[in-house]
Amino acid sequence: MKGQYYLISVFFLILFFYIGLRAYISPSTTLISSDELTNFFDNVKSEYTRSFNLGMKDEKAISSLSNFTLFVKNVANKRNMKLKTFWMVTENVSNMLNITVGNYFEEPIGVTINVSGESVSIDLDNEEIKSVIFSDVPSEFSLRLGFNNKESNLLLEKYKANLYVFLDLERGEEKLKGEIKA
Amino acid sequence: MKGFWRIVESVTAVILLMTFLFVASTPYLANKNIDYVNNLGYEKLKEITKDKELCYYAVTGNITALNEKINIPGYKHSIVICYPNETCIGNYTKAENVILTSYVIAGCEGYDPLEIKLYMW
Repeated sequence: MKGQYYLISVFFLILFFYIGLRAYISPSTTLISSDELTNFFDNVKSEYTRSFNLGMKDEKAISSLSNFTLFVKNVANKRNMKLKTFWMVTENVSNMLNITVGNYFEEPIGVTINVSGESVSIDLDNEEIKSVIFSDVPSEFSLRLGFNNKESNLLLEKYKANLYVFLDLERGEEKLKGEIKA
Repeated sequence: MKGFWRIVESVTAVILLMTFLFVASTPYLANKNIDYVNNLGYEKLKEITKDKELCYYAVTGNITALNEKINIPGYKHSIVICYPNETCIGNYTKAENVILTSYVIAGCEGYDPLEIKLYMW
């Protein structure tokens, strides 16, 4: 007989525990979707190009990109995400090609830029921006960009402002990587 | 008498199992709904950058107009706009179980970044 009472008591104890637990968890919680990381990645990808284009309108493309990068990194941090980015902008300045690179990988990186056979290496600290100028560049040129054990080959136009962004977003085990070419 | 207690035991075991399954499955079912509503809200916020009027309301901080223009069927909502200097405008809800989605915009006519947070309940 004692065993049956024990069983019934255990049942009610477990039931009360779960009811109590649910009541404790439910009040005033902000529910975050599991799609948050994917949505944020999609959001940042589309708005990076916009920040560049809007900056170009005011001739502040580099400062807009730099400011936008710090802003989205801060938003990501608040959501327990880590956003690491690297970007490159090419512009025609007085018939020469000006290439600006920005490192937001949270560590120093080495960058190699090869424009139509001419190669330049740059060391960048975290949040550092540097520019290099290439002369005698044809109106359409190939650019090989190497940074952080990654390589990207681009075919670009000299007389058009070009943007390249590499994004690395992670939260715990979830990781997303992508490029923007505009 | 022995048979009676066996029946009680069996019924108790079934109830215990069903209670466990119900409690264990509730968060899963709730999460599916959270994802659906979150994505719905995200798509609404994404439209802001495509709509000049909505974008204008966002950069000028017209929370009332934005709240009126955004419609999430079956849900109440509230918008909060946060700027890079960490200041935010809008009303935070005190409702329970609020679903939060947000969208970062770089600006509309000029570079003017902000984050729009959409609370749904």
